[in-house]
Amino acid sequence: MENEKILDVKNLKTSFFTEEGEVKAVDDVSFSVYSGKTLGIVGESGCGKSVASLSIMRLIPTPPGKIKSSEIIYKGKNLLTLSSREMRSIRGNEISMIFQEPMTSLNPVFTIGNQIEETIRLHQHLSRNSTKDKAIEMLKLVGIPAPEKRIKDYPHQLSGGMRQRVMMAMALSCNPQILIADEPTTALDVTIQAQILDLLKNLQKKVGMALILITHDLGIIAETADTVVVMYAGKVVEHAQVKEIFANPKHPYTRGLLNSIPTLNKDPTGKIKKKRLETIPGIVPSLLNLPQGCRFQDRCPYTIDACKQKEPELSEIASQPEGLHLIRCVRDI
Amino acid sequence: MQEALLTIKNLVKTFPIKGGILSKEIASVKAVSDVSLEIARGETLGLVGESGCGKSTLGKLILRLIEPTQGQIFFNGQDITHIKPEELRKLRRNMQIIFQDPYASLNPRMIVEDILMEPLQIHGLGKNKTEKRNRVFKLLDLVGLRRESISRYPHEFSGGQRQRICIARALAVEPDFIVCDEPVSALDVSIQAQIINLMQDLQKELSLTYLFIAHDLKVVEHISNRVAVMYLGKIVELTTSEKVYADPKHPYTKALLSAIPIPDPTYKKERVILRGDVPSPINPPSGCYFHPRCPIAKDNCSKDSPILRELTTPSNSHIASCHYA
Repeated sequence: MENEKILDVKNLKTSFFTEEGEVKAVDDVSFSVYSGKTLGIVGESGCGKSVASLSIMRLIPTPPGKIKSSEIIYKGKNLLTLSSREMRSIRGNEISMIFQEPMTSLNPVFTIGNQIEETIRLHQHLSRNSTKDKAIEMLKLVGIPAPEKRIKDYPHQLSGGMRQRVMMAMALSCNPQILIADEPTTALDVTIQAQILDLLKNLQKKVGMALILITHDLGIIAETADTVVVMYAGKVVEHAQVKEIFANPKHPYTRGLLNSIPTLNKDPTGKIKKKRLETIPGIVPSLLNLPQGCRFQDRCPYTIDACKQKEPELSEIASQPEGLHLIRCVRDI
Repeated sequence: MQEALLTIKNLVKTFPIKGGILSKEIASVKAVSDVSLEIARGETLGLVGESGCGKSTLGKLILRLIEPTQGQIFFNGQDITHIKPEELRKLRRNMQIIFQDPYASLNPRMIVEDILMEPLQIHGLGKNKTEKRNRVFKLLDLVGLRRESISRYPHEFSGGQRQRICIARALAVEPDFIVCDEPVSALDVSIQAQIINLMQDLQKELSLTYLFIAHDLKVVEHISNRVAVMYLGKIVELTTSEKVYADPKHPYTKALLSAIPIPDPTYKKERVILRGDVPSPINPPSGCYFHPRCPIAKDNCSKDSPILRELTTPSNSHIASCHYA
């Protein structure tokens, strides 16, 4: 079951039609997800990483949004051509999602038990009692102490980390094949973040699901992902195995991101190096007003004339020991 | 150590919790309990801790944006704990604050010129309109914004640019001391690096003193000279930023450091994963506040409350509150 290609996203294009024009939030993005493995998607705010994941779940509000052309193949079926009813039986059941804000993604007027049971009731035809047992079992799985009592709690009675665990219990209650986690720990403190990431990894090992982890934190990517997709302004700019991307980043944007994190590094003598942070100058271009050619040209230290003429293709770097490594850049740096 | 610009002694802040029909005080939260610190002129003191540990409350207490329950605050040698509002306003020329959320801390109906002009008017800086406007231009140059920005509204800027406006506003009155309350946590990594560099440049240029509050230890370590770690309203460790990373003494500091994800997939480390959540400050645990989550807690930790003590000489270089540090 390990390493089976379970989801194949091909040339995903999602746009939002606004008064000012078409915003191509996701523009020609392709990636594959393997069971038991973690795909990390990194990028800054507005790069399209969340829209890509919402497109897989078909949760893009239409209008103004629209998935223009794509194939999202899950177990031989194209998710984009399924009826709403068929999609509903997959969503939350076989593919489920956890969101960034555990405070706003839970309904404040229902107990957490109620909310977990709803998911189970919708997708699995169990008796009332076994539904409740299942909900308690899920809460135990995600490490909530005294789940029999906690099941009667309302979301406001729980801490942020506990709420995120409840979200995970809900998402995992139907044993999904794919879990999409959209910035699952961004709203949490670092010690709680460590707990949640550890839990996600253990659960993945236990149930063998595929994980799509969306984050802006390269530290989290390094510790959890197997494959990494770096997105910039709606496009994939680099795609490689995690070790390769950190050891041998090829795209100037990936390099810029890696250099702009303050690191806690000691040099061999044990003294701490404090150097000035390298930055990426400027800001992400507006998706309504993209430059001609490469989208990163205005912020890139390596821009040449060729960058301004044609948008570079996502192409493979020849003979890499760590497997497939794609970049979207004309320069070889 | 250099001359202290700011000294706080045994500062305590309790917030009452009201309840019942008559809104009587039924309990209280000790947000900051018995904190003493010194910040030297020109230094950056980092303050880290998880949400709810009282770090922002401490920042606001220092600026007297909220009133302390007990303790004393000295700024430039003057006791400012109980000074009158009028004097306080004058004092605010010397101490400013930058908030976390650049979206919420700028008035959406004011253009940049008005935002930056307001502090100048309040403190009577600049003789006439032209002089004030020149000062505004200088401020914009200082923080790396274009002069055309002067007639724009906050919503026309990105997050990083808004934070630059907030910094410019704080600098308008030429303060000595700035409390930076999570100034970069709402920003993307590449923008975060720009703002951190800007703040460091400004510090050198204008010889500023910062209290830098953040939950991100990497950022704090990078920008600070010394770092204070807070847990449930108390400082548990205080030392230079080199030592806090290379040789942390308090188990909480160790756990915080080990929880940071390292952007290197080949790096394997021993991670201390803390059990449970931060306890409620309404009803803090007995003895050492950290003992229910502490991996090295022994019997006496739940009974005796440890005091902050010196671990090394020369004095004031490394203090921590742990029986076993």
